[in-house]
Amino acid sequence: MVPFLLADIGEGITECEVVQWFIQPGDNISEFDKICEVQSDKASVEITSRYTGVIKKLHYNVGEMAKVGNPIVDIETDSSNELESSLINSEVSPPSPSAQVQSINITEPLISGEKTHTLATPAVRRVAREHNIDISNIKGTGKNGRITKENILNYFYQLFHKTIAKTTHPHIEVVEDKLVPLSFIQKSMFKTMSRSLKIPHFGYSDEYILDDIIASRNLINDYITRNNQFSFNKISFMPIFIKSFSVALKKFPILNACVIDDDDANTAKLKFRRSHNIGIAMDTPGGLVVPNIKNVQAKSIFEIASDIRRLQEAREKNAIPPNDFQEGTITLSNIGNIGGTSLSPVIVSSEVCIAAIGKLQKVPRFEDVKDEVTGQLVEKVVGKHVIPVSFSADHRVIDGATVARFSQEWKNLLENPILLSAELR
Amino acid sequence: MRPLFPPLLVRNIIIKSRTSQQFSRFFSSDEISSRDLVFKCFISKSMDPWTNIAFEEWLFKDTNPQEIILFLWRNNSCAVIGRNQNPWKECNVRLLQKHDIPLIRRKSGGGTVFHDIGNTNYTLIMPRIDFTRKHTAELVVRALTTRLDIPAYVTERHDIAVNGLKVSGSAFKLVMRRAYHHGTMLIDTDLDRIKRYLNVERQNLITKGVESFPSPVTNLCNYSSTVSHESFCEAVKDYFTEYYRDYVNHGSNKSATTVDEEFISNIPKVAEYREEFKTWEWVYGQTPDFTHKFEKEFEWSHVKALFESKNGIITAITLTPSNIKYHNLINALEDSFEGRKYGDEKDIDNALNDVRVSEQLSGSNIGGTSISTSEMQRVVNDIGKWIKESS
Repeated sequence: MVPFLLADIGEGITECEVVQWFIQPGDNISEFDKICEVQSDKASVEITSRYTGVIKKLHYNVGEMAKVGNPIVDIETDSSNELESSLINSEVSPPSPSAQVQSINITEPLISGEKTHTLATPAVRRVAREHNIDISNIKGTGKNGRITKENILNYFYQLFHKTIAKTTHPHIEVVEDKLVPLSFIQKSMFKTMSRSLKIPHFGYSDEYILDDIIASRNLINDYITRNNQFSFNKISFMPIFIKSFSVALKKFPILNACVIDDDDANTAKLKFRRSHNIGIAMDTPGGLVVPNIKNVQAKSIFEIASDIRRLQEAREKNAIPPNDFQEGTITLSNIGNIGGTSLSPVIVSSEVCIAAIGKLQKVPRFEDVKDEVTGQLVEKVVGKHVIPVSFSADHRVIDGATVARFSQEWKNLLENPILLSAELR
Repeated sequence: MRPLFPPLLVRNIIIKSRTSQQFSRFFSSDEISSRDLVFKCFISKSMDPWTNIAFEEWLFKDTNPQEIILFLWRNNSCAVIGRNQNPWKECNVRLLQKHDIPLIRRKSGGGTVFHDIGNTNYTLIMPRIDFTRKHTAELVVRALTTRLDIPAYVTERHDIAVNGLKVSGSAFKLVMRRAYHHGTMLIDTDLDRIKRYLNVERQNLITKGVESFPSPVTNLCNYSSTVSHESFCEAVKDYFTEYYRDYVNHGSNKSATTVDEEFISNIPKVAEYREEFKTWEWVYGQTPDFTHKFEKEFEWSHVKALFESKNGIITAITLTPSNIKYHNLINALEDSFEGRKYGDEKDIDNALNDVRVSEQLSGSNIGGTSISTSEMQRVVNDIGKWIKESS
């Protein structure tokens, strides 16, 4: 017997009134049959069934408030399987990234002092520290019961998946074989993904500490307020990210290239491109679009900010000119305002690399700080503003070390902003 | 090579997708045609509220869900309540009936509005999977700002306002494969007249269901000398057609279909829906449970009344006179009212008459205390008049 939950109908609505039932206990119900009508402030929504079976129990009377996420009817199906909340019943489809989806924080107690009886090399201990895992929780499978790096990573991923299971919907289980045509979103994703499929992707992730950049940005914004010569009042992090991205890119021009004639390894060529036309993802009422900023290598941060402003204004009017969508060479996607830590962006098929930035968060980290009393360096826990960054690159022409080095270069520029000015010509 | 739309695959983030003209820029034309979406626009010439709402229902339920439809319409004076509202709480039902103004219960949620020909309605019907609350309102606002020079904007509640005053309210309906967003647009409505019909002070009517959320309103004509029903329809039709231009069937040589009474009358389903919208069962019978308390000092006694209603029917009524002389007569009235339609003049009269007749037959000697016939008549008439006025 399956409790059918009232799906999240979006807009932060947590409960809605049951207006009428279309079925009664004892009725036979098929998938897609109407179950009831609910009302939330301005929306009247018909809830349809995901299951075929017999109605056992109605959890609410007409006029009562049904809670989102709670069972609304009980249905007896042929086999009892894990339920899932229906995608087709959300008002905003798919479910909106509201309370349910957050960045995954693995909560493990902070390491207090692990110089104990656990057998592990210093390198392995460091990996545990970096992942905020108490090494004493892990069982070692190495020589003499040593804890290996694999043990740590496995433990980490187990936690990761457990946390995902808690915060997202349980996996869909199919009750019986069924033919379902693709939805609108699925169809378009299918087509574009099939094209990008040609590119063998590999990923690389890191986290950058942005405390210094945050301070620098504040200084820049103060400057802007004092000098009224700009078309904007303040800048976001994007112009800084984009410019430093371009500076780092100068040392790794292969990431700005594109592959042509790639049907065969013998005919394939790499076209190195002089201009850094960096694509940035923008959300519009019509959907996600990726216009690019031309020639970032020759522009200042202010000029880039100005370009972004222009694109945003054009977006408001739904009138970004076609030229802005052409000739992009590499893409930088910032979904930090939505949330997320670990990302696997898909490369645009005329490029070889894409970077994605997640949500800026303040997290505890270890730092060697000079103790005021003793003058000694002591390891303390400090709050750091950290941002997760992920790359995907074309493994036919780019190797892991290149992306890793590029990331380190970009990270270096962002963590030490003064280096950015050292690159000025 | 043109850059293609680079979707993000993100482990713990869900991709939002909406019908988009930017989308179409990135796909070649053969891909668009294989998507099967079609955009159509209908403009109604009828001003009959029942006809228009029935036609809207037909567009929603009986056309292909792959069609994105814009419907523009306006009505002669009528009051329109939301799916789950209480008409007696929201409007002056007696006055509407007295002035022969239709009362309509629509199928979408939300609050009560009053239409007249200075108000134009817009409906956008789309596939369920593409529905968002702000989409339609945003597009209408852009039509107003770019084509009529009216500085409108979308509010937090997904209504449309100018200068802090509401010009458009909206409501939504969602079923499995389709959804619609429809809204009003005050172009040149007689705002004072609205107040008369929607002004109801009924503190003691306690009801389940949705209550209206009144806001201060204004007309678009206060912000533009060129705005009218025609220019508004033109602006909205043009803007939406441009936005959805990749789905417009360029084979047909008109951008919008104008529908008149004759066209509509040729669709049997519409006539069916029209009849359903008019039934007492739908308009009043769909009222959520409520109670209503009121009292009055008559010459002959002070009386308190408590009505309980389900589905617009009086399920219980308690009349409490302070003077026990009339106790039994009042009981008889209570029994007679039970099961009648709330607020319905005919049913009230029937209830009164039944009591009159039965009391006359029994010789107006009720349970020991004798009341003269004229006294009985007076009590029954007074109660009847009072109940009619109050409910």
